[in-house]
Amino acid sequence: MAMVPDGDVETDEEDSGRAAAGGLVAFGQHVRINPTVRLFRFDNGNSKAYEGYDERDNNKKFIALVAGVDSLPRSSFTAAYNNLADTSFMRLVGSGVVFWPTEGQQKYVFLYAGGVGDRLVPKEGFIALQWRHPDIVEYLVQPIARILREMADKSFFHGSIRPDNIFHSAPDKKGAVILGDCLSVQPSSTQESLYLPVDKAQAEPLGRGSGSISDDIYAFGVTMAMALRKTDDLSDLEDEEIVRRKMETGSYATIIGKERFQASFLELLRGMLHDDPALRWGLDEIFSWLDGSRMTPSPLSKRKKATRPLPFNEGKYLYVDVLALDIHKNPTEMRALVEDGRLMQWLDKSLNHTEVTERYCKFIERLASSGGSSANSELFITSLRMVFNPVLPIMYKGRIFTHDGFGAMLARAAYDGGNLAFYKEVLNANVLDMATGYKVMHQNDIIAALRLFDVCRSSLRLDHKIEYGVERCLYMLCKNVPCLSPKFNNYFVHDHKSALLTYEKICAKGGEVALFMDKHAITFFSVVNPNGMDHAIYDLTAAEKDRKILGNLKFFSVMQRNSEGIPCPEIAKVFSDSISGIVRVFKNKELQKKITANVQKAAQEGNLVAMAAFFEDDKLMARDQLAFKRSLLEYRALQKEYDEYNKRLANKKTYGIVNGRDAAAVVSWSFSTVITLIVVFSYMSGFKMF
Amino acid sequence: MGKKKESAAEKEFKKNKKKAGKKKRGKGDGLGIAGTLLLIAIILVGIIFLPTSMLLFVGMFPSLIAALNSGRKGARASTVTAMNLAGCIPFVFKLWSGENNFEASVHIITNPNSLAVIYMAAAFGYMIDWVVTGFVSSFLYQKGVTRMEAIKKRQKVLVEQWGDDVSGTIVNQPKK
Repeated sequence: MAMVPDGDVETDEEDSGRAAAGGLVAFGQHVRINPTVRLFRFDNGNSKAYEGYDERDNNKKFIALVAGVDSLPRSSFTAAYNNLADTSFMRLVGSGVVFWPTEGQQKYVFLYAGGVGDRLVPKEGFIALQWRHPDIVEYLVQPIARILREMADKSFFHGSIRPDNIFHSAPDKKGAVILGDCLSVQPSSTQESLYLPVDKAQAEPLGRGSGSISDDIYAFGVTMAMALRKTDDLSDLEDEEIVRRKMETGSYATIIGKERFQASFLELLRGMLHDDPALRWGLDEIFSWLDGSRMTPSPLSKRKKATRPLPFNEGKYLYVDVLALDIHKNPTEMRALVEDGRLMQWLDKSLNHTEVTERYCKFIERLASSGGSSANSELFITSLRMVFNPVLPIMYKGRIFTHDGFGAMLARAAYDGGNLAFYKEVLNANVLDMATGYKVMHQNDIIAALRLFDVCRSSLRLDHKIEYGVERCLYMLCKNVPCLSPKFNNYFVHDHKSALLTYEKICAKGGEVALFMDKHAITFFSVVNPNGMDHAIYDLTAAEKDRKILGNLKFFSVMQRNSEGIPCPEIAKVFSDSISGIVRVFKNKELQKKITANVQKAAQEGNLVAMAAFFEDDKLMARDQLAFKRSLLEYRALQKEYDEYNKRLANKKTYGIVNGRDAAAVVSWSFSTVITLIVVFSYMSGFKMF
Repeated sequence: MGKKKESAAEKEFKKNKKKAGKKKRGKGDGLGIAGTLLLIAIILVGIIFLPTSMLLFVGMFPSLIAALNSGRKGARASTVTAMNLAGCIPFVFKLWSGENNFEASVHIITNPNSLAVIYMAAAFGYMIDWVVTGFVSSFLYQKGVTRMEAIKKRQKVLVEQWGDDVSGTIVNQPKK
């Protein structure tokens, strides 16, 4: 969907396929993006930044973040982002789909106003920020706290807060910072593990979930620590080691290490880097800190330490949450520990952690009822990991993800054309439900999530129906994925308008039939815009080809209506060629001819709404049906009469004899009466006949 | 006990027999009470007016033959009777206007001219039956044929207006 903030740049997707002169990419009417001028510092993951400018004023520069489907850009969040008025956000002046000539496919572009400056710190290497503490508060903490509050107020979250995504336009780096792009990628997907709390740090980039303001506060805490530090102790550490340290010693201790910061900053960092999201500082605490209040962050809850270590996988474990990190490394030994009761004994006698023991007992009960640990060894490891450390993301068959990040992974796998069996298995094995049950979440959120997973499983069961299947799950679980229909290969179709324009281009190439909507397209639009799809789903899912075509036409009319009625002559021509079939919904031949003529006329104007309107006139259809039924009854009555005549007329000799004799009797009696009267009168008058 | 049982069975048998007898004398079987009374009345009237009765008995002989031949559907008999009666009426009036006795009646029925007139009238009745029946049946046949053609024409119009579906038959659709 084209987004037009403040009328700065009008992104007209009809221009998206048009390359401007000199290899430039036209974005809207006046903006040109130069694919040869890269702005590397603004790159965000796989989304690449290019320079853009206004052709009316070459000095008006833009930063174009160009994202492919693989990045799953947050196109649906542009409106929310635009509501953020703070000057420390990069100002979004437009967004939409463009044809990217160097890759020969459509991409989604987020166009930000230029003049953002350079990175606060370089991406590579280590450079300590040489700011005085008051400058850090004024130019870094205050602006970021302000934008965090604004994001919280507008129910938005960034997901890409890190030092190399913070910019500074002042040459002496004195002045409020500007936060870089977050829309062109999934939240947290481009963050290093260091910037993520333990519940997400281990997960795959796309499996980190939807994010929250609490995650942004945590990432800001790490960013601050990185900006303030004098030494570089963490850059050599592997992600797994960072997670392990965060787990063992806490995020604050891991990140601060032996650095010496001003005491007041330590409070702020301890508060923002708290591993428990419930105890992590919120915006009120941060602003209180900025106002000068000195508060003591809640200490980390004391981890239960076992009195004697559990030997496992050639190691010794005193903490159950750390054990959770490693159980996948030797499932056989872990299964043996569970089956011979040694693990239970260790939990009960050495660890004495009531909550873990309760969870473990329930797990053992479930395990016994489901056929033991060997029934599904992968699910066994996954479940045990959740039992030992519910905070950690889900690990299933070597893949690590959160319950709300699963959708993005599924979307990416579908886009890559990979086998989706793993994802179906995760849904069917209730892995996501199990993980949601262990999370500390609002009851409503848990119910909503469980209901969603349940709907997904139903959808998998109804795979034989065109509007269900894993495709529907993918669009329900990942709201930012564009339509992945094979018809849209190399196109970025994310709403009605982009779909309509894409189909128009496809039709212009020729050879299309009016059966545009495949399983992906139907499931995508029935999830994205269920009201529009409800209008046509009955016909789209019909077995008859003509009904399907009619369903397509109806849905395309909805798309055109939702796309400011842009004319689609090529699509209309394809439908027009198939009109002979769909016009048969009307029974009356004269009416069919009349409607065909009217539809052809509307098709010439590319007006799909008008074309479909003829087939949506319920009164006309009802009248036609009623008249048809009457004619049908008349035909039957006539046929019955004909058959009767046919039967009776078969024997010409006997036909009408009875009636004839009756008539003869009437004639005879008439004569007889006349003769009798004559005789009577003649005798009465004295005339004797004989 | 045994005797009592036997008597009950006998009573039942007699009841059924009575019912069966009643059923045998049902509607349409025999003349019935009214028919019997009418027959008795005719015989009595016939005896009272014997000369006229004799004349009509001999004169209406062709009607009797026609009635016996045409069975229950007596349209032809009715036709013949009407004309036969028309043939008899002048002689009945002749009888009544004369002596109206047995000899006069015999004189009329033994006169070949009288019988010729009466029987010719009956023959005319047969002719009316043949001509009118033939004419009417042909007319009705032609009317039926015309109606069939009109039906086909109307059905054709309906098919042109609504297609083959209006006939209610399943039309083979082209393969999808």
